[in-house]
Amino acid sequence: MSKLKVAISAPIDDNLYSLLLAKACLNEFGVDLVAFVTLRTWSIKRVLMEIDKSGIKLIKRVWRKYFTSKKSQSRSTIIKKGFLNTPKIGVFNVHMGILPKYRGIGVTEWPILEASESAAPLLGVTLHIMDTGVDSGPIIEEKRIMLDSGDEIHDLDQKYLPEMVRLMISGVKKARDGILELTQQKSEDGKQYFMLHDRMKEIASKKIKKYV
Amino acid sequence: MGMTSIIGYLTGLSKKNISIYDHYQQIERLQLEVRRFFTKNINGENPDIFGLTVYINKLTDNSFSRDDNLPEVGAIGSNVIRVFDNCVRNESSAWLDLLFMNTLEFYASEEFPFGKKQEFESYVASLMDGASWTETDDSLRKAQILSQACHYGLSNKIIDVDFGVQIVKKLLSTLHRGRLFNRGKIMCGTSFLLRSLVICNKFGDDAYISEFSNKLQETVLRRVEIKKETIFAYVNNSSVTFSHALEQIRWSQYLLEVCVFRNDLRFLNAALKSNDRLGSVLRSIKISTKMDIPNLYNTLLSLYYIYIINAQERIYNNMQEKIYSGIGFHV
Repeated sequence: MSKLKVAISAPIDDNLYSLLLAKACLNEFGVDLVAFVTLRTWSIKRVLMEIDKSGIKLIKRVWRKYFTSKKSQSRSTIIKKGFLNTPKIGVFNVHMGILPKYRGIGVTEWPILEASESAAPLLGVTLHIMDTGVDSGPIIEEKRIMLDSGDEIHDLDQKYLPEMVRLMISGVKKARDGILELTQQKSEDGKQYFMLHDRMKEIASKKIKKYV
Repeated sequence: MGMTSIIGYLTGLSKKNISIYDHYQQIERLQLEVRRFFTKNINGENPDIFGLTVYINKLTDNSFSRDDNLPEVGAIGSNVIRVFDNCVRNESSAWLDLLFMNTLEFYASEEFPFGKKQEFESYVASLMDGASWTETDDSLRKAQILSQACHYGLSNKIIDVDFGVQIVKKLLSTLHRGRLFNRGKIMCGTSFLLRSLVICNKFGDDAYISEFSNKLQETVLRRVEIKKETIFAYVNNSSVTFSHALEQIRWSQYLLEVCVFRNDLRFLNAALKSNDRLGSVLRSIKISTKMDIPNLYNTLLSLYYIYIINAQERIYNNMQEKIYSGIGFHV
């Protein structure tokens, strides 16, 4: 039986999620990790590429990341079609929200803001195949996440991390075994969300206490 | 990019983010300066709020001439300060609602036919002929006035929604989306069109308007959040003009209106960011008591700024109450 060939594309070389995923793939039977693609944080090639891409805005990004107290914010990047079409099965992505309802970014916090008191916030992760839209590709699997006592807004990402790795590996196994089932998304079933303003985040961090 | 722009850009990077306390401090300062300006320059015996509106309209319209008789402003009346005070304390928005109606010269006359719906409708109908966003300066000007008249008519219930829908459709037919979001070139007046669209969507039952309006709201949201068009993000941009800032405030108003209409917090979130960017620009505004054009511009801009921050805070506080009382925001 031929092995399923997997390549991991990581945003930076020390990205914890990507490293955990790589380790899990290496330990998985029937899965061959053929590449771990990343960009070095500091290399002439990368700096030149970023200058070409962002121009003068690069100074602002570097300033914010390294010289201000404000944490750097994740930036959504639209992946080019050529890259998406390269793998035979597709490019898998674990989205930190429940699709199709919560597309975009800040989706660990938005469900808390929007939830009514009677219902738990719709938190979770969704594995989907990427397409050219924003988190709009066909869904493979999702995993709901419940809040526990002591959970805080700012450390939700850490709570999500193991679930993201598990979900991705589950998807990889399904692909290996040829049992992938895809559910198409309808754009009208959800909305695109954006980074929360600090004051909205403040409300979310207070409101989370109602659910834990 | 010149050395000055680079230095300006780098200086801008070190500026701290604006908080609501910064906004309030700024409002306090601007209120003080505006009051001083009004006290010094407006002291007539017979108050006439519309007179001042005419002046401000002329200014925003760029039709103001230095030869216009500025001292006449003195006859406008001292109660403007009282109305202004009421307004900044949120007791009445009437004054600012009037300001939002800039460039509608029709309003300038004291014989303005309040309650005479038909007269207003025929005036608006006459504007429809030849109004276009894409053709000559004259037709563009007509389109701008028409969109403002339409918004004023709808929001004050002078024209009915069906007529509003007709006007909106007419205006939309000549407005290409690429022109609505035109990087580097502002399309003053489009904010009124979008806000009219919200009213038509809210009170009308036209399927096309409803679908178009919803799609457009999502597009605008993405533009505000991701693309940051010149109109939305002009911090550190040396070409900031009075019109840019004023239209930016109106677009913020649009975001807040959509937030309330759709009960959708994403639009409030975007308005908060947009108004923070605006706050950075307002920092540099200083109003002296001298009656001249820059001071009048800055006074008007300050009034708009005070209005929009108050509106933002009303909605934010209301939303906070809803969230904490557990009502929730699922749409």
